[in-house]
Amino acid sequence: MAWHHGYYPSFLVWSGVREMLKFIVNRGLWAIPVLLMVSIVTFTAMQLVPGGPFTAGAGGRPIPSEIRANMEAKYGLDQPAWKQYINYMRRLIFHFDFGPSYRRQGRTINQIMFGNDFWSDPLHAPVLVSAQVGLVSLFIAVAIGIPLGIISALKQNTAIDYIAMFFSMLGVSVPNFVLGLILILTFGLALGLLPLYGWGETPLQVIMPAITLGTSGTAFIARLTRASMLETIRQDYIRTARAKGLRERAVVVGHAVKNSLIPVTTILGPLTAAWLTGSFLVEWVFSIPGIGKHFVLSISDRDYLLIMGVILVYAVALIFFNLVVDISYAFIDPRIRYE
Amino acid sequence: MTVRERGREVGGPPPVIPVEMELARPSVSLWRDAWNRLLRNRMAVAGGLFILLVAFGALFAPWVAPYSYKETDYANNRIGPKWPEHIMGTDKLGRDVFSRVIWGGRVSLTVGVVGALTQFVIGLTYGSISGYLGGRLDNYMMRFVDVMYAFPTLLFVILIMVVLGPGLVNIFIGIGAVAWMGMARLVRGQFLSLKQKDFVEAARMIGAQPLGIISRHLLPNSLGPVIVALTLGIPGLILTEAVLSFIGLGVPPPFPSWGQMVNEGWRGLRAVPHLTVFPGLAITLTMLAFNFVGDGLRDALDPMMRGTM
Amino acid sequence: MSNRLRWAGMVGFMALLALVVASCAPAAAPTPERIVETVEVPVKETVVIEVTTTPAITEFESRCTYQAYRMGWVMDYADANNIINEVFSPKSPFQYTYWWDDTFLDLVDQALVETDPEARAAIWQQAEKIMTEDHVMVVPIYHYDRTGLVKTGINYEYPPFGQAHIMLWSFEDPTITTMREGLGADPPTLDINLATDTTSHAVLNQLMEGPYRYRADGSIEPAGAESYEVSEDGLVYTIHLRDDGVWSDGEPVTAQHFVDGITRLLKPETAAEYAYVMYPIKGAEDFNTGVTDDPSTLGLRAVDDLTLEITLKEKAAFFDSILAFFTMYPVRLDVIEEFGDAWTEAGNFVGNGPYILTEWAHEDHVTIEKNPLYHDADQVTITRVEFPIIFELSTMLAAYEAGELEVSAYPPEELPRILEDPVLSQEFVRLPYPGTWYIGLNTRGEHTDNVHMRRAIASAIDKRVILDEVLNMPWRLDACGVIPPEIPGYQGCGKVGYTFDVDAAKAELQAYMDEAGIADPDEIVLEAWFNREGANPDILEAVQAMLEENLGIHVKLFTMEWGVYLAILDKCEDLGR
Repeated sequence: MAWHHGYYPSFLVWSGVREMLKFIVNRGLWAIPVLLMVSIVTFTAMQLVPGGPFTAGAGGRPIPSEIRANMEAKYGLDQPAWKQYINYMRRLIFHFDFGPSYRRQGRTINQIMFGNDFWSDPLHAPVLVSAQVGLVSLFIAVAIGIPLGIISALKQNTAIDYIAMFFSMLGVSVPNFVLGLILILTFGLALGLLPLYGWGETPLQVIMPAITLGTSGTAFIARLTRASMLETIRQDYIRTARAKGLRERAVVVGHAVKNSLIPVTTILGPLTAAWLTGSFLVEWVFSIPGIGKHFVLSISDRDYLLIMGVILVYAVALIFFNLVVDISYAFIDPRIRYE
Repeated sequence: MTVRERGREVGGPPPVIPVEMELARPSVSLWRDAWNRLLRNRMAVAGGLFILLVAFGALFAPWVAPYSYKETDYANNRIGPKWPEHIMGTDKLGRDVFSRVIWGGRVSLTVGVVGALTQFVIGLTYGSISGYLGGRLDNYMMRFVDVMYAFPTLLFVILIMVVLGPGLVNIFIGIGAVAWMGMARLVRGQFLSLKQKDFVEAARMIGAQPLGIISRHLLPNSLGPVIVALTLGIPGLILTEAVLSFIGLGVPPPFPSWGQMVNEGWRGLRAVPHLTVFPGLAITLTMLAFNFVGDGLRDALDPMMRGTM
Repeated sequence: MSNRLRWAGMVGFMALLALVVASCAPAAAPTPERIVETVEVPVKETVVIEVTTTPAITEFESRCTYQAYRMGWVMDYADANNIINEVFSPKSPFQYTYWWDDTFLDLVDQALVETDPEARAAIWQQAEKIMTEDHVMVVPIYHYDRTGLVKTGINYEYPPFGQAHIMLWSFEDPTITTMREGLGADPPTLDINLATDTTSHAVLNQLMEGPYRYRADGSIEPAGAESYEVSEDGLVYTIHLRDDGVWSDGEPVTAQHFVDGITRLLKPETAAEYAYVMYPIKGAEDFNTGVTDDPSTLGLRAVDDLTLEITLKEKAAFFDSILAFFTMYPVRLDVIEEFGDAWTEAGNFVGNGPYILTEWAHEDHVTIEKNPLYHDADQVTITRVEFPIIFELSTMLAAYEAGELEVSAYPPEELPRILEDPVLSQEFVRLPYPGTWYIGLNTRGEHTDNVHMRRAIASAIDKRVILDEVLNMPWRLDACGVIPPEIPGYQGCGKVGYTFDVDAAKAELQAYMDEAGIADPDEIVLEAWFNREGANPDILEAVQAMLEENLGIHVKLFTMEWGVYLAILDKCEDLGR
């Protein structure tokens, strides 16, 4: 059948809530070895990267080796790698402690990712700041992308189709940082309509970052929706439905859209995970205190535990959203069968 | 020519074509048919021609480009587009932007094509093994892909690049290491669904070898979506190279790449816009071209369209 | 055509395509993957067992293939010791040229104990000549200065070392009391003994006060202290603190606090980067390297509440200048103990400077406000300073132009536009910031192990073009020596080192080729390593172009990220010693 394109993993048949719960538990159990593997691979990669957190001083100068030895001893970096790993996992699993930061001395990874007072001021926690930007971007991408794709598919190969696809393509092919700067210079500096950078003062601060991040996804989602709409429209059973005499609009809305949502939902899983954990480029250009920057900067800082922390957060987000996606398949099309 | 001999089963009953018409129609193979349809798609043709133009320029850059990519001219640096000496202006060292854009096509196209090939080879192999064998092995292989997927792509590429060091080959390795997973999943999905088709069953009953089945039946029939995915993935690779340049892990100087040029120029957007606009346009147009070609390929290879045009 | 043939044809075509495309690609730079290795390599054992025999050297030769590397150094205090000795001494861990000269080391020892400033400067000059003319292991390119943007209407002042003291600034309009300065990163730490980078000190400088501080001309003026004396033999410094020094929580500042501060800096567990600056103090090096863990062996004593006595292990004429350096800050051990790692957060931090840390929202902004208890509080007119954290320089400049910042940095690409803009060009500041940007040459590298080759390189680089055209900073000074203009001992181009002279360069190159038996400069390939941050790629590309054009040799550029860069250079150093 035409939709077996391998974009999406196994499907499910549910006869009820019990099945769904079993499924969720099953996925949850699978998550544990996956996370373990992720942590091991990351830890190994850390050892392979040349230089350590104390090779280059924060002052921009090389550090003499005796002092570096002192610093490494302070954080237990002189111990064998496997021992460091065991200590790390033990601290993480039993105390939910991601360890200290090597670059920002005196602060812990928990503080860097979750903020100094998570429970009293959750909205300012870097993890949630990134999530907020990501959510708005996601909303933009979906709210614009899906209708755009549907319209393009319905009016395939007409001027509307080309224009829509062209503009969405433009959104993708302009690199994020360039687009961000253009927005800052136009809407921030020249027109003075929006705040230039930062977070937490006014809700307006989310607009430009979300547009910057969202445009790349809009194009992707629009194209995907269009492509799968086109395929579904060509399905025989649609032809059959048309033959039955249903009104065209009902045909489209009822069948095509629902089915074409499946590949879109599939990519929404990883996309949501990636956006909700923060985009480096957007957070960099707009100075947003989220965790997205750390995905890149922590490597040049060689802040090992921060790298581990953000990778694990991303992995958890990915597993979670893939699960959400898989569950939502059942609601989109009850005919989907377990492979 | 009957449906069976075309070597590919079409999902659902064949379109109803009157017998006279069918005999009157010349026989075409799958690929020839797809090629014809592709050629009738104007945007795809335009895109393809553009890509060929860029590739031609990149291939013959030493003869096509008016200047060398590293020839400096401090007296004339940072000037805007000037006809006819520097039609795209010069950069801060006085190097001609137009020449650098032409030369830069080498890196960007190579990254795109080689990246796609790497994806293709690794992903195809992995996915076909996993898809064909199925069962528990498939399960574990896909779990491994899940673990790989659980890494944020940018971070992973950066890690690889930092470990390997700078250089074009390492960029390929870095990008390839991250990108093959989607291809593997795609191929596996294709194989899983095709495996159960009647004609595969038939081949097996005749006693065909697994390798034969894979190469004669499964691979050719999966190639359609694979090629489409590859072509549509190339723009992403080109963009990834630009992002890598932003972080500083791109191609080492003085060799130009479009991503590197955008990265060098974007902060001076107000002062010297030509340094960003021209390589940026190159990226955009090339990405557009690949997208149109990819879309055209998808339309051309779609079995549902066969016999309807 | 049968399926199989078609299949093979397609694969073959793609392979051909790949081959063609790949052959077009620039020859992949030979990656230093042979240099990168896992951390567990027992380098130290190699060096111990086989000190100067072949295996270590061949390993060095096969991995450390650079002939040139790029570095910069900004002076910490007003004495050439900081750069000539601390950076370029053959024994220094901060240089990677593998040079050696006994006369030079003797001169350094002499200079360290010479108290007459003119005589000392003359000795440093001699040492500099040996470095830059006899050995030519360093090719200085230009001297730094400090640039930025400050809105008109502000009376500002920047010392040549370290960061500004905002308490000395004022607005022309007395009704404005809040200033906003852009910070390019979240301060990694505000711990008094651990902060080393300019971002941390941009804030810490306002919160803390050492015994002295740097004036705009580089000399020191009393801050937390009133006066000091040096004993006859130059070993004992007695510092008299002012009696109205007070911490932000009301506690008076005592000499013991200074003793605590320096002791904590030198404690190995603190792992302070700048501990080495205090090594002239008696017992400091042993204490810091763990030879002894008894702090009473340190030459530090609080004679009484207001008198601090420091004993050096040998005469160090430059130590006067260090009195204004941030390693002299006092510290409140009780506060650190009470709050632990969180003691640097707003509300916990206790400092003795003109400002208090009122807000620190990490990665977002820092805010400080005037400390009413400060001894000269009535002279502090800017009562509140906000430091928004803006990572991207383009964004910071846009914010500055929108009027959201009073003090800002700028991306180098915008410099031409700034200099031509009627408003911005007036707000552009240029101030002394002694330091030197240089290229070091590997005296053990292929080709560069010959002094003629090094001389040729030194004479073939047109530093004026780099400053005028590449960096767009025509006011900056090209450098032929390493001592910057603001430091005693400075000798300009013409008096030391090599100036740009293509003919002389070619002659030296010819001399080298004759010695080495090379017929064609084309055969000479040099590797230049550098870290890719800032304007380095532009400058190195220009240098590459100049060397290739003027000398006819080939230069390959290797750019890597700062951490990797230092790691590899350090590893080479371990191998080469």
